[in-house]
Amino acid sequence: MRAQLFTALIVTTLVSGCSGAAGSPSEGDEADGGSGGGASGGTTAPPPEVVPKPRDSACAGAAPKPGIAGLRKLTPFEYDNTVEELLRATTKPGASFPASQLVLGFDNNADAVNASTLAVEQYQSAAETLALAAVKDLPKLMGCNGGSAAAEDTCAKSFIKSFGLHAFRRPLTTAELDRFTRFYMDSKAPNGFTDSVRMLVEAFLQSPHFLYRVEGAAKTGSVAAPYALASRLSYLIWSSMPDETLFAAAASGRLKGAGDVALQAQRMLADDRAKRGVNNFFGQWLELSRVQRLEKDAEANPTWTPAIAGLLRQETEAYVQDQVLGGKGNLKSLLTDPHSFINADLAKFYGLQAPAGSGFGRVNLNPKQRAGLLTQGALLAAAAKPRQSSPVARGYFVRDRLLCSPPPPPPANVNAKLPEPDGTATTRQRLESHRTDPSCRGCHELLDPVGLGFEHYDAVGLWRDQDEGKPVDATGKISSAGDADGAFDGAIELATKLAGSQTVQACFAKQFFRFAFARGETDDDACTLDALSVALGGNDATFARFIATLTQTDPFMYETQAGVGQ
Amino acid sequence: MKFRQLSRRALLRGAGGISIALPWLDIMAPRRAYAADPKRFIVVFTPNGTNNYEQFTPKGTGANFTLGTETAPLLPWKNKMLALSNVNAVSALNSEGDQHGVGMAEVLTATRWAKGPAVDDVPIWGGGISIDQRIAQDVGKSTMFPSLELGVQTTLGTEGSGVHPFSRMVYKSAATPVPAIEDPRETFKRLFSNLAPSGAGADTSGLDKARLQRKSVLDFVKEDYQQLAPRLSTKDKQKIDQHFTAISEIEKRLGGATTVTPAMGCNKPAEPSPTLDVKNPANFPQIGKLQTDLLAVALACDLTRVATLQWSWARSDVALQWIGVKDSHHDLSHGAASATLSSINKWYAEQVAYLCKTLDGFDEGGKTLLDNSVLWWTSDVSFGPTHSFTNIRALLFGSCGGYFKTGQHIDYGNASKVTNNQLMVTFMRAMGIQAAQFGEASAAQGPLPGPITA
Repeated sequence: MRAQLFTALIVTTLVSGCSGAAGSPSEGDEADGGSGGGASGGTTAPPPEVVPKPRDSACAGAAPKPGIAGLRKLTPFEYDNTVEELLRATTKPGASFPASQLVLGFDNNADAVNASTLAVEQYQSAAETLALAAVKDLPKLMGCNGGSAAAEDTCAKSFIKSFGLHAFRRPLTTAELDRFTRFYMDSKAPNGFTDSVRMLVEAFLQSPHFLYRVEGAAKTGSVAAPYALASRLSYLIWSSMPDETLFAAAASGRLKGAGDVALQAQRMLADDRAKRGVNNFFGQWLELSRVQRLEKDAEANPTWTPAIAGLLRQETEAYVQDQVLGGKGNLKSLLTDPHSFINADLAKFYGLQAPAGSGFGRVNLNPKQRAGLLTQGALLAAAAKPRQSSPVARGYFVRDRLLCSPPPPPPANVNAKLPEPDGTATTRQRLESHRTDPSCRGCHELLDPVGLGFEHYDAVGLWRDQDEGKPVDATGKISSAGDADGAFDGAIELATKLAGSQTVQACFAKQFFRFAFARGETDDDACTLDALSVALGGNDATFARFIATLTQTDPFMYETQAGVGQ
Repeated sequence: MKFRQLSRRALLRGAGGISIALPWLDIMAPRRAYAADPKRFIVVFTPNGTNNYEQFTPKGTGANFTLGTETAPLLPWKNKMLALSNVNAVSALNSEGDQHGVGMAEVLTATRWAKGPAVDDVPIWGGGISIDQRIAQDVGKSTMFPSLELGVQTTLGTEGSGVHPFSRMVYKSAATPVPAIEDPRETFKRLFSNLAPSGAGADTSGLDKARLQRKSVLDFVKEDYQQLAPRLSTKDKQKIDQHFTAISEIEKRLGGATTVTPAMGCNKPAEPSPTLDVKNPANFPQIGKLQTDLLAVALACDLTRVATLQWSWARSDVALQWIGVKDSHHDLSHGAASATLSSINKWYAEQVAYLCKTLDGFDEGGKTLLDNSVLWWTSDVSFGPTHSFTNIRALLFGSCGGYFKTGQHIDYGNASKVTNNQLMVTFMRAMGIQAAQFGEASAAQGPLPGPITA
């Protein structure tokens, strides 16, 4: 890790409570989190959270190991957010781009970057549409006015400089300024002023410096260039381009070290745009987009509608936003807090008292029935069949997303279809063959006993005391999952077990790593993963600190793009 | 047809309700005469094979064959059909890994799968160029689009928001998939945005100007890619080079002179409704119909001669609720044969029949567009419950300009060694490409045996 760097840049610049920084092995396992207080607490920013000390003492003081990051392309979601900031365009053209490949669960993986003709054509089409809309109000777009031919050219030149900075997320080089200016002049002669400005915007929006995350201005092994750090921060926390504050910090030498980055991260988490970043990670980690594509049997689930599916997704989004950005939430509370955010329609669906007001509001839940993320309708309905629960799918979800140890897919040639409910056997009974058939048992003993913990929730996630007329048995067991192993009764006990488990912390850290750095982890990343894992545990852990910790790691702080610019 | 010029008036008369009387420009300019009608290659994919060969495979061989309940909707096309039984996808046999992935990776490539980025632990991508792309390399040179890839909700239901190997069957090369256009409005835009001026009216100067501007922007942007590429690592350079190549391809299209030989009734269709929700599973049939209509127009107007239409994805979980099926197709496909399952394939057969009918509705001077095409209906696996790759789905429609002898069922028999590589070679020959082999080199190569050709 970059312990020295951290110590030099943060500890000395920040006021209080930094004694737990890396390099002070004598302080207990959990770093003293500074003065506490969430990153998004209020208008007066408390000092940034301090990076906890890694569990593995070998990591302290080691030489930086940032790893190698491949060239990333803006995902459709990032593209839409970026043009919203750049051009105030809210048309979301990215929605019609070809979907990105999901690798290791996320759509931003650098290995999967692939520019098909179709994708490139759609970048072209989007650029044309966006540019056409943008030139409808030239003074607003360009920040200056034409008038005489000379005034137009002056205006265009200043526009190239300022728009170029924002589109490329770094200042244009002199050579680039010259090229774009020549392009403008060449276009203007046959096409006129407005069209030539439109063509400029089209060109910026189709450049690799806009569509890709080109970095590499710094030497490998040194701290990344300030503008690269600005983009790393903004795409991590906002899923979008840097704002003026970040550009200004980069320009004025206030985005050079770990301390600068931590301060910016803290500021950015308090900004409303952070909700987009939270939705981006949690949406993919929890596969929330599946909820709205579910087919549920209307007879068995009379209250289920497509509208409910959309609302359930909103519930989970509101809940995770509050957990991550509310200041106090951490991985443990994410999995166990007995409250949620619903509106009147969802209250009716769940059979709960509606919150005050017309929209979504916080409600307390019956802690014996629901607590934490895993007991929310969105996840329960997604991991279920049209007419019944699915302990297999629910067990798989926990194993795959929270324990990072999914069993392999079923072998070919097996009948993967469970018997349909017939009014007699409970779901647990109908799964019996998984326990008796030796060819099934190997994997299903990892899945079913976990998923059966959710048997109190039906095909759409509603609470039930009976299954096919018999009392629900929601006892279960986790095995082969390290400190998460053991028996439990029901989803609340299961969630509580998971919430205190280092296996789950390590898994969440790994998932977030893959999202944040758009790559899989390697041996070189052990210390980074360890630091992330540690930041998730302990009673004073917060998601704000976790994200601050991530911004201090080597892959975040250091130049990682191989072969560029040297 | 040796030479035909479509008059604007003929176009305005139109062929049916969907056409609108917009002037349609370049296509109507006089064209050079063709020595022969262009031939077209079309693939239609539908998922999960069959659970019931009895009801899927034709009974009886030669000209005297009957169709079961799953293929009955194709009966009107019996005379234009060439049914092949016991062609085997040998490249997929004994291949490790998720069998739907294996099948999807080989269905159009006839190769063993190649390792690519793992998606949900499935790293199984196509192992080489797919047959449509290979054919397009030769026959696609003279059309505005070398090939057209259309899809109907091919990514829904695969995990999350991204793309799974199960969703891709078209490949430029090993592990380099080509996505399908999923939104009929995008299809429309792609096909027609460079062919009509932005406003209505017969004046083509607006279009010419727009094309020139597009070309000039792309010219400029290309330099950015050229200058960046040498600064990158080998892996990253490939990404940028690929992007550069794609821009060049688009630019070429704008270069003007694309020769077209439109069939009668090559009319610009109405633009699909802007309110159509392409992500809503309930709109699956409607999206499919729009894509089918646009595919046919693209072929009729000779914008392309190679097209694929992919319904859903390999291992599809689509529940065909519009015909009363409530369960996932894949889940059902691992159960016993049933009337429900047969109704699913029957519904897909109706969609293939609709495409046949649409193609057959375009007159190309005595022959129809279907006659000048070969349409291949296939699937990711042959037999659903076991994911088998022997006796793959090989129902062909249209004689490809008289190349195939249609109206017959050829069964190579249970002991058949006939491979899908041979099927692909035959497709290439039908399309005028003198090929001897395709895909997996160790598989039996050369054209299909038997009385295939007319």
